[in-house]
Amino acid sequence: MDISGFGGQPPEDTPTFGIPSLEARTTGNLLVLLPAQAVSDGVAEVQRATGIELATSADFPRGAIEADQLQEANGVVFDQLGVALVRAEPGQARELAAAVMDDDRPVLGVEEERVVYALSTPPPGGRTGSSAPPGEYLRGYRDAVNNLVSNLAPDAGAARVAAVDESTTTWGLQLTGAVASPFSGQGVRVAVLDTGATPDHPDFVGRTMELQSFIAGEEAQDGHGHGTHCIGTACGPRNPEQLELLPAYGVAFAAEIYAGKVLSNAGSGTGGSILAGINWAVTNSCRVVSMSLGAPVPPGQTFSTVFEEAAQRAMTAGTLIIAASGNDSRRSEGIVRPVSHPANCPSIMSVAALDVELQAANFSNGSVNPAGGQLDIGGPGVGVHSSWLMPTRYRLANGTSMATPHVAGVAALYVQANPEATAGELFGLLMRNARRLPLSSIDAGSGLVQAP
Amino acid sequence: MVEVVVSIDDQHLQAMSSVTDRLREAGMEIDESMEAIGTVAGRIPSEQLEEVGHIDGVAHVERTGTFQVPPPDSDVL
Repeated sequence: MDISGFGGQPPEDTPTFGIPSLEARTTGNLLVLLPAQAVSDGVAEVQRATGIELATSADFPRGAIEADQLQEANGVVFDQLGVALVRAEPGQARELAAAVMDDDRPVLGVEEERVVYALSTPPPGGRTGSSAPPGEYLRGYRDAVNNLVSNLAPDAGAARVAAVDESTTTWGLQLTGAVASPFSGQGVRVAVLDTGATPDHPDFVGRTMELQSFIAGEEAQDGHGHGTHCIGTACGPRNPEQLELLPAYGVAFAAEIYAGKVLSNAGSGTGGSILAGINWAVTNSCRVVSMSLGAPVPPGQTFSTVFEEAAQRAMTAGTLIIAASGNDSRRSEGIVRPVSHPANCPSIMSVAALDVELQAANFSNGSVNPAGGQLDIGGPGVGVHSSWLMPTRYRLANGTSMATPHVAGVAALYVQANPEATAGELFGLLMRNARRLPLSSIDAGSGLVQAP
Repeated sequence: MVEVVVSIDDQHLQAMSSVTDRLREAGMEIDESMEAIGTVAGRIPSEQLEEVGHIDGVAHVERTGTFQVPPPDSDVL
């Protein structure tokens, strides 16, 4: 039996078009996963279980096993990967499977080795005979076109997202997976830099809140509402007993709230007040900063170097800044405006607003500018229920301002789940785990943020 | 006077006070010196803008921008 896939030829009936068939072809060999910290124990166990002596990559110059050695040996171990490739008879395969099932034996997994193909684009020009596109490719193409049509057509049949019941939790908490998540933000400090907070709101009674004003002549108490709404989304309570009224609306419901007033009660602030708020958050070890604020950026303009450097230093200190991409667009009229400052800084995560159908909101800005200005991720930003000033208590709001604290709250959940993660790794966790959507990355970044 | 935000270069992050001293000597009125992120906010006479950019320890100088969220009763916040 050849160990093909490592220098051998693929089976003869390989489609010449370069698109693999749906069913994976196997070589008859097995890949065995060994414990990373105990590879030699794993090797010994494989030899004990099967009698197969494994050649090791460590014996070869630069760890490269020669192709003919692969052909001759009954098995090899790639010692840097902790993976062994073995040519096993059925009895030996059963022994390996038994070793995997036994937690005490240093063999973690076994799977069949698959044949892989280079992916290639089809040759240009006409095709006839044996080089004609196989039926499978054409069917796949047809399916992709059908999918595209059904997504774009207004009467596309069943709604993309099942109707959402907001009697106990908001749609944003549901579709981001916050409701299903075992994490609460416990032990994580989240700074919301905005118009301040309403610490005496009935839903926040007994909730510790650090407050600081960076607006001369104004207290941290929110006189606008914007900050209160954002704090509610990022950190509001989940327990029905702590809520005056359902639905619950907070993502990181056990996080420690740091409310920095960097916008006045009239909603205005300066670069200086924003930076002062960021500085305060970093100094107080806030792992997440939520900034539902921005200034419009014209097409072609690049990002602020001062803010980018501040954001990099914040990241080095362990703080990830998450900011709104801005609401200057009118997509219904074909107008998509660039991501706002400072969300357009590469080291700041920029957030788009998605609606309950997981479409980009009409007003949500996009990745227009080439120098920085990338839109990173999407959050619920249309029809968002959260806390407001008293006596109003709650309101629905729309905006990338509402999407941003969803992402910030989820970031706090990731910090709780991965306390050793750097800010850069946290950025990666959010991006990697986002729910990919049938939207352009220009409009939704990596997709809808998903909780751990 | 022009409102500015100044970024201190990496080499002077641990010695920001030496740079802020020089900024003041150049005529800057400093509102806030932010050690954790290496930035300084304040005002500079407009004729001093270029000179301030050349001060040892100053990486970048930018005019301070303004930010505005819509009024509370707006449809989009």
